Amino acid sequence: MLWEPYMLGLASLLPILGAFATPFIWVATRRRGVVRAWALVIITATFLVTLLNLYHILYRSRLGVETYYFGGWILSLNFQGGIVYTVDGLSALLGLVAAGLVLAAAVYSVDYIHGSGEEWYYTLLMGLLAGLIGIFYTGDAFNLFVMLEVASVSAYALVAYYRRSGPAIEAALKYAIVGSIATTIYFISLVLLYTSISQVSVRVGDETVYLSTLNIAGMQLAYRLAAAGGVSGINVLTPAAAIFISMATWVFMTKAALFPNHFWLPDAHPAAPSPVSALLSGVVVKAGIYAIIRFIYTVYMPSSYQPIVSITDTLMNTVVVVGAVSSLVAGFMLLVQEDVKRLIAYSTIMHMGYIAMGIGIGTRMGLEASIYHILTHATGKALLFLSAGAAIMITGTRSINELQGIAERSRVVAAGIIISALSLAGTFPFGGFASKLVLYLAFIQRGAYILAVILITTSAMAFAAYAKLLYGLVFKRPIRSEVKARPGRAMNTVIVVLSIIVVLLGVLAPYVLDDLVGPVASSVLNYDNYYRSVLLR
Amino acid sequence: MDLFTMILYVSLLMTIPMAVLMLIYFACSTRYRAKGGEAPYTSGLDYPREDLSVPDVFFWSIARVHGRRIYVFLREKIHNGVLDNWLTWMMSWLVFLAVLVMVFTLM
Repeated sequence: MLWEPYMLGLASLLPILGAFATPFIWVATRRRGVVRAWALVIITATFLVTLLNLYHILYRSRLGVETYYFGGWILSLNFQGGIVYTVDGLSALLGLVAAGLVLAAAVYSVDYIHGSGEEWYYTLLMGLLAGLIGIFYTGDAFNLFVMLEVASVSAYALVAYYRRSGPAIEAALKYAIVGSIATTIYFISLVLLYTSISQVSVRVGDETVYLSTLNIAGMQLAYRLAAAGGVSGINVLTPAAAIFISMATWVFMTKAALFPNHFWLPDAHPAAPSPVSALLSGVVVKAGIYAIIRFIYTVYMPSSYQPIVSITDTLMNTVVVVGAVSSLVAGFMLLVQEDVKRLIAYSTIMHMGYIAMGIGIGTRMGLEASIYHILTHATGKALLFLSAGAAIMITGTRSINELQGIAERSRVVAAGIIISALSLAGTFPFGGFASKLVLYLAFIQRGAYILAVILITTSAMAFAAYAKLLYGLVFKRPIRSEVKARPGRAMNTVIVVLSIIVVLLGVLAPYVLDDLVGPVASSVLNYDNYYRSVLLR
Repeated sequence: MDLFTMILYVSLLMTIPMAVLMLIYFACSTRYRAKGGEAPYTSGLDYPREDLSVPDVFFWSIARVHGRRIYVFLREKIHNGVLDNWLTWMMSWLVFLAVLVMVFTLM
């Protein structure tokens, strides 16, 4: 249909226009209710657009990949041109997850965020959403850098939302310094990559075409042609690819908070308001994981050129080792936390480790398991942060030892914490159990028994850490008699909806695997379609 | 000069001053290296022994003997909240990764 390609562009345009319009709406009306309603309308519309996009890509699209050329600037044969969005199943799914969680955070914030600065909060929230959708949808490595910056700058500012709190400012500054170093290194690596790729040329009839591009499909084609021997300038491509891969992987590991680039996360996530923590843990760290998947599976894996194959193998082994170390270190650190939000933050590092291990083993089942775990972790972690935020609101403390008797104060909040913690620890019948089971089977199928042992051991550590929280929550009496504040209807609704999703992701595991995760993994692995969708417009 | 040689030269030109700067940085920073302020605390280690089941006693006994040393290392050397120390870890990892990929590519 005619309108469907435009939906791809609209997904990130809507929130960015919404973000720019918000300060004007605030100045014109001076009513926070109007700003809130505006933000909710824009974010809901974006969510519906991403939902349509996923449906179209998975069930209607001929190739399973769709390309949208901003401003109608169609790429020439050497992949030069304007901004291009190339959306496959993984991009569409992660776009939907981002929009869904931002919508949940925005609804939750109606009761949670009040007072001066609220208008900027919603502006940044929409900026973050635009950046995230841009990261997931873009088909260009340079545009990926731009969108990483858009999302990151919004995230730094959101962490510093409590601007009169010393720890929040310190955490935001640390996050910003580490994040800026990472994106700068990515930019430098892109310069090197562009210089090398623009030396690669192909003979098309009588014409020599230079692949002067950072388009992901163009990069895939350059490396594939290298194997066929149909290009010149290849001697530059290999060392440049090696340097680019090492630098870019380091950057994506920083964004994904994988050891030893994870230090910023345990400071940044607890310091932010709870809905922001939910987004940072639920979806922002997934941007790094997405970029790793995109470069490994779409750019490098399709090439059979021997140096590129060795680089890819090294990279995948590194991702596995780093994932394993991340989950072990985070597992140990989980046990010593006294602050509930810090505990949840370390749990994020552990789960990022699992996802990295699944990607790194390089099998279809490993990829499916990682995609499934991205889903269950995103929803489970968002639910845990939002429920913990409500519990902190009730008790006025973040200390696990004082966070007791919540079940007596609010059953919805207690249920939210219990369901999410059990799911993240990998307990039947929740989503976390199902995705960890598929991960476990993928490791066994690959013969990576040590990874299976690490998965089980660290899950046990997480369970021990959550057990203390859950025991106090359910079986102990509240320490303080007074209730600081009660969660409102909007907060409770979000917790209930996310709890249902976490349960359904586990109970409906066979359907989720067959009808969602499987097709998404197929669209990533059918890498031919990625460049076909760019060229065969 | 062909592009490959040029990239090598430029990389070398960037690497040498960076290495010198890093050496100066490490020489100065070791004197002022910040220490973490958090006291190591292991949740669960304070549970009374009689409240624990047999597997729990086994687990926490191991944690008491070996765990504390790991925690002290993780907390004081890695997760001490000091940006300066984080950057050292992260940059070392970047250099290691670059060397690793280059070595495997050349092989």
